[in-house]
Amino acid sequence: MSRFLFCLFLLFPVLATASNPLLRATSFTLDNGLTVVLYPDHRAQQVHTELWYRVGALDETLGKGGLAHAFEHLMFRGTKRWPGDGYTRQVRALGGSTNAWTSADFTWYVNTVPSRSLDAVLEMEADRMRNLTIDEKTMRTELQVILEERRMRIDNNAQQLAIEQLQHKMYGKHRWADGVIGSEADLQGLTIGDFRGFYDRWYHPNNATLVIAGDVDPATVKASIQRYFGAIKATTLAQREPLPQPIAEVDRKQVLKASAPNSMVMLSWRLPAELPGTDRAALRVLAEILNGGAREQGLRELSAGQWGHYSDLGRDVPVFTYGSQLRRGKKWSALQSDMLRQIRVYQGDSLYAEDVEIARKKLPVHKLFSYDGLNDAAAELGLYASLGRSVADEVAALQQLSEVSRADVIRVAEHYLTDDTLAVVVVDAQSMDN
Amino acid sequence: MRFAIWMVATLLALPALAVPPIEHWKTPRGSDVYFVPRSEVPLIDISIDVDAGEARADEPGVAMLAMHALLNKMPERIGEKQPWQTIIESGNLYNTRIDADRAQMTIRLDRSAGLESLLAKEIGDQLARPVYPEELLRYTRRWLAQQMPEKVENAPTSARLQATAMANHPYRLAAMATHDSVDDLSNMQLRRFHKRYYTPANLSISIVGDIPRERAVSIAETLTAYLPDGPAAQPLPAVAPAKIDAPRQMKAISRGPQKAIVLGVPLAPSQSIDDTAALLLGNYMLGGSSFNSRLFKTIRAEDGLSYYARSQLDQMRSGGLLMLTAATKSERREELQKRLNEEFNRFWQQAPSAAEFAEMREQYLLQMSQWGATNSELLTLVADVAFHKRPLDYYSQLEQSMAKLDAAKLHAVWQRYIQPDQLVVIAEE
Repeated sequence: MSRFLFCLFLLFPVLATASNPLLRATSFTLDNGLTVVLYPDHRAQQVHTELWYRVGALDETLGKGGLAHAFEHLMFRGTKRWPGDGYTRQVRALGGSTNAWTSADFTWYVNTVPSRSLDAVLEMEADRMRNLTIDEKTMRTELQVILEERRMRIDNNAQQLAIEQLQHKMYGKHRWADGVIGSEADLQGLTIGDFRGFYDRWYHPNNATLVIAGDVDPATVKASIQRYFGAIKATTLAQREPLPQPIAEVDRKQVLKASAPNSMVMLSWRLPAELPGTDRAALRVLAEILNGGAREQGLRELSAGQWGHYSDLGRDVPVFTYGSQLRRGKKWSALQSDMLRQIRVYQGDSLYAEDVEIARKKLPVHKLFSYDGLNDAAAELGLYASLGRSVADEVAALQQLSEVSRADVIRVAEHYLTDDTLAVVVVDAQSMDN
Repeated sequence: MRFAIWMVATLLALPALAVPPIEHWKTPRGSDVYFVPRSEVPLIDISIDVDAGEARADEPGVAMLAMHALLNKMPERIGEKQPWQTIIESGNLYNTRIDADRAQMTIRLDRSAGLESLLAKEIGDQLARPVYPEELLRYTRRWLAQQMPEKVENAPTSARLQATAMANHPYRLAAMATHDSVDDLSNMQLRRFHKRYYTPANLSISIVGDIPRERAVSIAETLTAYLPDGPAAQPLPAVAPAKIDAPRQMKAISRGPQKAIVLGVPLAPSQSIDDTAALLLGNYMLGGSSFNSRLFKTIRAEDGLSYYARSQLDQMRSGGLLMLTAATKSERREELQKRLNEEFNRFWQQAPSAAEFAEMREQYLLQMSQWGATNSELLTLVADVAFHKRPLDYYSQLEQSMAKLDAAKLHAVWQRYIQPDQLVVIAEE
């Protein structure tokens, strides 16, 4: 071991639980059920707000794919108070920026404005929680925009297209087979009635979490939140439909020939819905080990870059993913074989203890770095609150990473990364000149 | 007199900038150092910026590979880590970015790890004497070659546009590297390039974060202590749009159902900060401000033609490039190109109304008041001051220039810098 590396291990601290900046956050709930999370950060005279609704693509019905995301677009298309593009225009006039995101589980609306304009955006955000106006012409125009978004994100993207096709195989005739954005056919078939029904069903204070991060004084902002959101009535929320189970008997392998710079292989394992905390931590470490690059020489010769991903922050069952891009001039079948061999290495004694050590050190530091941006800190707080998880528990889970052992990683690789839950997506790149 | 009073009132009403004061000094070897202490989060961000972009490259790709492989070091002992491994395996971040103008290395460190002095020594040694050992270079070279197109015609559309619009300028070289040109680069070519451009006068250090000035001084000295002697590189020639008879239109291949249209025009370097303010605000109004820009409102919100419709103004040391981009399905691409052309021409031909101008300038000034809110944003701003050799109060001056603008002045500057007969169009088919 070099002198340099020795110093590194000596000096490197584990991000202590007590020092995690997210623990500065405080929260409370209004009488109408709106959850509020406040996160002070006074580096600049700026605030970032996020309003999270607990509704996403998983709450759509068959034939209405993309409704949650399309509705998110319409939330920028006017209320009686702020008609047309009044919302975005006013946020900009305040010197701010605005955007929104939709996932399988949630839809969230974000604004970043000078702190002196916080009240103004809170008032506008409260206004569109219940006072949206939706007209046929605007809806049709926006659906054209969404179809272009679909072409950009999915149809022009070989990797995303392959994943979508795999989902079709795994879920069959179920809404979830089309992912968040929905199919062109479903999007074309959406009606004004669908949007109005969706709004009435899900957009209520007792289905939402408001996060305010930045130059905010928790003692004074409560009155503003109460003033703008307090009068909105709660409602009885609809029952959510149970999630589909993947179809077990299909061939879970999809090879898509597509115009792309590189071929790609993606291995994906579906995991049990409930996992012990130690296993969750070990799976995160395993994903980070894969992010660190290929260890085996053969795999290094075939791979132009690889990644691992594990997440259990959602209602769908957790998935562990291992992907790799193929070097040009090599065969994807060889890459797939070597990737599976790499996983078998991690299921045995050939896993390097140093790789585990490095991965478990990297994860907390990356988290710390992400808190430089108010948006990242706010999004994490919004996600935890929307999932009903406490910040303290999640910070403790982060701390748990430092206790993951080499044996833990081997155990979860053996236990969860098995052939019977594996799905494979391959993008077989075709030359741009053909 | 009324005008003078109005001006004073406007200037006094400007919101406070978020960019804190920037400190500046030179290292004993003559490199410029820019520093902003910021202690709210336990981070240290460092940017090393070198006047060694692809426009300086004799062989396509040499500037990129010289920077990407800079931290490759022949191990002195078995098991010794590479400097870049030491950074990233401790969770800290290390990135390199090379464009036509500049080669940049950024490092983000967890302050509590106390690694900055050790890393400065390691990186300083490599900055001064990279050997580019062949045993390691072949991995980096192969990795970089994989990122390159097989041939120049397959480069990303925006890169092709830059190469075409800058056809008479070294900035075109930024889009010339291919898989084979990178794969052919040798150790000697890299060392030659490094010796010529990685000199103290050609390199600046920017530091933002949770350290006192004395530590910043020490880090900067360590980073630059052994740089090879040599003069600063001669400035590149200014971008000087050449007269041509007709707009240039080119095709690009896209297999997907959505086709992108990219319009671009080269710009001469800005002659003053007032001109820069006008160009920045003009781009903001045309397509640089997302939801409120003209391109967004017409092409997306009214026509539903494209998910994105934006303009981008790249201002480099010796000139710039204005690009307009949007994408739509095959059947509507002609309509989209027509709309992009219309908006480009409308903005060039007619000055914005006083009301539109006032609204957008107010927005811009309010947004400026939040620039540098995060440490990473602040580092970008400071590194730009460093690389472009701007005054320390540059952002304050820019704000003042913005406040003095009016619609007629903006339009006059726009017409002076943007030459419609220089327009290049690349349409995917």
